[in-house]
Amino acid sequence: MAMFSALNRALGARRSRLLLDNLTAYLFLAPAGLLILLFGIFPVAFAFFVSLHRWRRFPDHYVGLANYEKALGNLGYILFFWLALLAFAAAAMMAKRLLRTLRTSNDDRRFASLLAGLLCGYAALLAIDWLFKLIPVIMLIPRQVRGQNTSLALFMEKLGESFSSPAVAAAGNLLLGGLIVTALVIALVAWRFRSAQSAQLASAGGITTVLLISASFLLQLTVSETEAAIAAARETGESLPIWSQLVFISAGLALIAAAWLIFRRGIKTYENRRFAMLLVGGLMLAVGGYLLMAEAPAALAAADDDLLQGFWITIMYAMGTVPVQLSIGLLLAYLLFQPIRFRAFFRMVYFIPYITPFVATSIVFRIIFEAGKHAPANRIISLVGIEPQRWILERSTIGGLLGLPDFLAGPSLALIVIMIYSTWTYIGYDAVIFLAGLGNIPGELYEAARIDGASGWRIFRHITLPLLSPTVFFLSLVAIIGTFQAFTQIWILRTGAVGNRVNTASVYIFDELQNSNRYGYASSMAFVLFALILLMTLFQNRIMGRRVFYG
Amino acid sequence: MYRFLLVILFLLAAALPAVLAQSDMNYDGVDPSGQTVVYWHQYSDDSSQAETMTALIDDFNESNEYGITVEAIHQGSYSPIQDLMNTAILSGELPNLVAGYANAVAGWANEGVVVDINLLLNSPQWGIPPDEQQNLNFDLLDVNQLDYPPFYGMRVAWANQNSLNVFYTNLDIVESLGFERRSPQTLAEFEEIACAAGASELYEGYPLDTGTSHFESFVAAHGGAIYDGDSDAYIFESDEVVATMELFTRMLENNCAYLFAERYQNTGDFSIGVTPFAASSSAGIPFITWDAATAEMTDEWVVTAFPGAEDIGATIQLFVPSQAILTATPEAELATWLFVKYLAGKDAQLAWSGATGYFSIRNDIEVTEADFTEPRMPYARFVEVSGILGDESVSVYSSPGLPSYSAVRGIVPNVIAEVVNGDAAPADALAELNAEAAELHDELDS
Amino acid sequence: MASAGEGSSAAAMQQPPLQGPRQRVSLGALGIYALLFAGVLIAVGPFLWMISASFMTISEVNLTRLLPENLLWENYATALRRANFLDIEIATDPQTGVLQSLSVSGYIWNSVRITLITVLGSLTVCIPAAYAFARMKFVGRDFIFALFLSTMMIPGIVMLIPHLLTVIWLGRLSESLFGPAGTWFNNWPALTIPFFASVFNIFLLRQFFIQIPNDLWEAARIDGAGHPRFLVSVVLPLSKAPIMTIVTLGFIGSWNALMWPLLVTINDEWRPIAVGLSNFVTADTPGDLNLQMAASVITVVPILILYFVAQKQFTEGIAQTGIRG
Repeated sequence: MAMFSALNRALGARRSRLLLDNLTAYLFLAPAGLLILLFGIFPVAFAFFVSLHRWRRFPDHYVGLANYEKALGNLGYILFFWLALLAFAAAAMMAKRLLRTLRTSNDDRRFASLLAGLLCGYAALLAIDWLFKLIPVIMLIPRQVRGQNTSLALFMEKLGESFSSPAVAAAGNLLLGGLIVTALVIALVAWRFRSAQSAQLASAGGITTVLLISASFLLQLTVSETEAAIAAARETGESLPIWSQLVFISAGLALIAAAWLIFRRGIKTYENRRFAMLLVGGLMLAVGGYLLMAEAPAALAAADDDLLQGFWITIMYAMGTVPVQLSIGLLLAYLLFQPIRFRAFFRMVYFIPYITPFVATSIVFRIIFEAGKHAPANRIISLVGIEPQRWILERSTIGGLLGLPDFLAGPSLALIVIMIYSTWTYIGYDAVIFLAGLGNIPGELYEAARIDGASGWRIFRHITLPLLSPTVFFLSLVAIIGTFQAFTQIWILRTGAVGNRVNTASVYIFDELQNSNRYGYASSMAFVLFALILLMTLFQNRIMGRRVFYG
Repeated sequence: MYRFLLVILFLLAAALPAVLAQSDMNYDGVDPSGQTVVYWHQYSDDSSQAETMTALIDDFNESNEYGITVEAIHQGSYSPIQDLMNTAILSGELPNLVAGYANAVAGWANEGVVVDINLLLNSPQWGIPPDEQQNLNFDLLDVNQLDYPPFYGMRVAWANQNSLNVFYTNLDIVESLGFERRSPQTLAEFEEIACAAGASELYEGYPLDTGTSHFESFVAAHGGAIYDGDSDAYIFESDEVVATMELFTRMLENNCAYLFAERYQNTGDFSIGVTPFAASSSAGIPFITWDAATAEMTDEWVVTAFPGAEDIGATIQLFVPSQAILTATPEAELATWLFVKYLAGKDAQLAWSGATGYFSIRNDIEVTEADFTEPRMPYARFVEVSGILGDESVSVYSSPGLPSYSAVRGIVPNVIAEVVNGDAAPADALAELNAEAAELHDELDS
Repeated sequence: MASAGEGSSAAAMQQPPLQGPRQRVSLGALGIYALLFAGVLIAVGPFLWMISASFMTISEVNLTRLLPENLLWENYATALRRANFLDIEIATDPQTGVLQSLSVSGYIWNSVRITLITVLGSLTVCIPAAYAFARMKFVGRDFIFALFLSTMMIPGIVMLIPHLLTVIWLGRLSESLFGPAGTWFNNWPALTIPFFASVFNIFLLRQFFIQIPNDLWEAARIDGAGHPRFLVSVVLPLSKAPIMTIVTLGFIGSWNALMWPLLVTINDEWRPIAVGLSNFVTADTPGDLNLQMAASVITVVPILILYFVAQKQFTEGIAQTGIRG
C-alpha cells in the first residue's frame, strides 16, 4: 500500500492504477509464460533454425532450403513464398491498425511510444540473432570436452567461453547496445505514460517491426534459394520451372477459393443472378482444379515419397477416426443422458480405455487381431462367413482386398486396425465430455419443444445438436490436432510385415530422427507437418466455426 | 546482461582446476585407481545373463587391485540403448561401456566418442600379450575392426560372447511329410518341405521374418551379401539379393511361408510343433527348449547352419554383440578396458558361456557338462551348436559395420513387405532401395 | 478460436442437473440398456480379458482362452519382482519394533512422485495464468492468449531435440547453482517441469473463471481485496470441480507418458512406470504374455482407483467449464 501511494504521487492515480494492473497481470502470467516460451515457442524457432542446416546430431553447415526441397520438391520453395507473403500481409495489417491508432490518438507523445515499440521489436530481433549465433556454439561443447573429465565445472567453463567467441560476442555487443538504447527510450516514455493507448502503440509498433523484418528475411531467403536452384539446374542443362509453377499453383488455389466464395454468395441471391454466379463459380473451379492437377505433380516430382505417403496416411487416419469416434461418443452420451439407472457406472466404465496406458492395451489388441485362424477377430468374422484376415499383418489396402479400382484403395487393413484401436481409446473421453455438454442445455427448451409436439428425433436435430455445437467443435478440433500428431498408438502397433503402410508423417519423421540422425531433414519435415496442422485448424475454424451456435 | 553472465561464469570456471585435454593416446603410466565405470547393457533383469553378469561384476569389483568399481545399468533392448546414446552424445554425458550392434557402434565412432581398443589391446603395460592373444578368436573379434575410411583400422568395440543365426528343423514333422529325416541340405529342399507343410492340414509353412538380419542370412545362403567392401557400395541389386526376394515372394504366394506379428512368434510356433522350421539366434535355444517342454512337444528337433543354394553349401550368420569403450579421461578409459579384459579372461569366459549358452571369444576353453549351468537348455544342445561354429565347411557371414547400416536396416523391412505383398516388382523395389542406401552411405559414412 | 460468452449470468454457476428431458422411455428403455451394455462389452472387454489372462498359464494365453482354469496369483508376484515395479524395505528395530528406516523404490513409486510434482506444479502455474486471462485487463492479452493456444498445434516431433537441449543445459545451470541434486536430466525436473504450463489446463480454467459473476469481484474490491486475495479466497473455493478435472487429466497424462521419459531417464532412479512396462514387454528375451498382462493390470490399478474416487467431480468440472471453442 505504501508503494502504491508513492506511485500515486509520482504518476497520478489513473496512470499508477494502470501500471499496477498491468504489472500484476504479467506477474500472474510470468511462470506460465516463461515455461511456454521455453518449451513451446523457443523449440519451434530452434527447429526452424535446424531445418535450414545440414545437421547430424551436431550442427554442420547452412544449406538454405535444401532440406525442404528434399522433402517437398519444388513445392518447398513455393510454400516459402506463401509464408513470406503471409508474413507481409500480417505486417501490413498490423501497420494499418497502427496508423489508424496514430491518426485518432490525441496523445502528444504518441510518436515517442511508437519509437519505443519499434526499438523493442528491433531489440527482440537482435536477441534472436544473438541466440542463434550462440546456440550452435553451445551445442558443440559436448564435442570439445571429449576425452576430458566431463565435470560440470568443465561444461560451465566452456559455456563461458562460448559467450565470448567472436561471432557471438559481436552479436552480443550489438544486442547489449540495442537493449540499453531501448531501455532508455522506454524509461523516458514510461515516465510520461499517459494512457493505455501509448502502451498499445508501443506493442503494435514492436510486433510490426518483427513481422516486417521476418517477412523480408523470408522473402529474401526464398528468392535467393530459388534463383540458386534454378541456376544449378541450368548448369546441368535442365530447366527448373519453379516460377511458373508458383504462378500457376497460386492462381489455381486462388481460383478455387474465389469459386467457393461465389458459390456461398450465389446460393443466397435470387434466381437470375444465381445462375450466372454459379456458372462463373463452376468455371473458376474447373480452371483452378485443372491448374492444380496439371502443375502440382510436377512441383512434387522430386519430393520424398515416404513423406507424401505419410501425409496421405495421416489424412486417412484422421478421416477414419474422428467422425466415427465423435458420432459413437455422442450416441453413447445421448443414451446415458436418458433417465436410466447406473449412469455413474456406465460413465466410469466407458472411460477406462482412455485411462489405460497404450503399452498395456496394445498387447491385447495385438492378440485380438492376430493373423491366425483362431485369433478372436477372425473367429468373430467367421460367424458371418468372412474369410480369416491377416489384420495387423495385412499390408494390402481395404479397396485392394475388396477388388476395387486403385483410386478407391483406401487405408491398409493394418491401419484400419490401428484406427479401431484409436477410436476405442477415445470414445469414452468424447462421451463424457458430450455428456457434460448435454447437461448444460436448459431443460425448459425441451419442455417447450414437447408442448409444441416435437418428436424425439426432431428435438435432437433442432435443439440438442445446435446447442451442443460448441462441444462438437471443441472435440473435433482436439481430435483432429490429436490425430495429426498421433504417434504412440501407431509406433506400438505396427509390424514389420506391414512396412511403411501405417507410418503417419510423425512416425516417419521419428524414424528419420532416431535411425539416420539427420536432424536438419527431420526438422524440416516436422515443420511442414506443423504448417499442415495449422492450415487444417484454420480451415476447420472457418468452416465449422461459423456453424457453431453460442446460445 | 550477457557480460554479467560472462563474469559469473568465468568466476565459476576459474574457481575450479582446469583439465588438460589429452591428444595423443598412450596409456603407459596412466593410473586407473579408484575409477568408476558405468556400463549400459541389454541383459534383461531376472535372466541368467543378468544374474551371471552381476556376479562377474561383483567379483571384478572386489578382486581388482585398483579399486575400480563397475556400475551396471540395464537399459532395455538394443534399440532403447541406441536412442539413449543419441541423447548421451548430444549432452556429452556418456557411459563408459555400452552394448550395441556393430553398425551402431560405427555410427558412434563416426561422432568421435569411441576409443580405439587396439591402443589398449596392444599396450605393453595394460594390453593382452601377443602369446595370450593367440588364445582369442579374432575371426569373431575382428567384426569390430573397421578397415575402411574414415576408421582406418580402428577397433571400435570388443565382444565378450557371440551367437549365431541358426536354422531349426523339426525332424518328426519333416519325416511325417514324407521327406528324409534330416535338416534340408539346400534351399530348394527347404522350400519343397515348407510347401508340403503349408499344404498339409496339420502344419503351417515357414514363419517368415521381415527383419533385416533374417533377410541377410538368406542372402548369404544364396552366396551373396548386401554390401561389397571392395567397391565400397551396397549391392541390393545383385543377383543373390534378387533371388532371395523372389524366394520370399514365391514362398508366401504359394502358402509355403507365413508372416507373423509378435517378436519370437516364429520360435514360439516352432516350439509347439506347428511349423517344421524356424530361424533365429542361437541365444533363443533355451527359450525354445523351455517352451517345448511347457507345451509337452516331444518331437525331435535339430539346430544347423542355413541350407544354401546349389553349390554354395551351408552358411551361418554371426551375431557379435559389440561393447564399445567410450571416450572419457585416460584413467577412466583404461579402467573400462581392465574390466573388458577381465571379461575376456579364461575364468570369466567359462562362467559366462556356461551360464548363458553363448559362445566364447576364446579358443582355449572348453565348457564341460559340469560348467554348464544354463537351466533351460540341455548340455547336448550346446555341444551341437558349438559344432556348427567349429565346422570348417560352413561359410560365415556378418553384417556390414557401417554407420549408415542403422538407417538402411530400418528401411529394408519396408521393401521386403512391399515386394512380398506384390505391391512392387522385386527388381524395381530393390533398385530404389539401392539408390536410397547409396545416398545414406554417402551422407552418413563420411 | 472464438471467445466465449463473457457476460454469463450467475445462473451458470449453479451445477446443472445431470438429468435429461423427462420422456416416456418404457418401450425404448430395453433398447437403450441393450446398446449401453454392448458398449460396456466393447469398452472393457479387452480390459477384462487382460485381467483374465493375467491369471492364466502361458499356454492358456497362447490359445486365447477366455477364462483361466486356475487363478495363478503367483503371476502377480513374479511380475512385480521381475518388472521392478515396487520395492519397499522396512527396517524395524528387532527389540522395540520401532520403525527405523523405510525405503521405497521402483517404477510405481517413481510415477507417484512424478505425477504428484507435475500435477501440483501445473496447478501453481496454470491457475494464476488462467485467472489473468479471464479476469484482468493488460496490454497484449488477446495476442498472448492466441500465441499460447497456437502452441497446442505444434507436433511433438518438432520439439523433441530442442526440448532435450533445453533440459540438458538448463539442468547444467541449475546444477551449478544447487549442486548435483539440481540437475534436470535423468532427474525429476526433466520429467515434470516441461509439463507445468499446460495450455489446455489454462484454457479450461479460463473458461470457468470467465463465468464467475462480476458482482463478486466488485464486492471483494469494496472490501479492499486485490486480485491475489480474490483468487485465493473467492475463486479457488468455487473452482473445486474444474481443478479436479485438471488433476485427473494430469494424472492420466503423466502416469501414461512414454516417449519423453524414455529419452531423458538413464537409470531406474526416476524412470516411470510406463517405461518400466515397455521395457518389460519389449525385452530382448522372449517374454511371457501372462506376466506382461499381470504387469499391465498392476499399472492400471492406481489410476483406476483415482478415477473412481474423482469421477463425479471430474465430470462436473467438464460441465462447468462448458468447454466451448
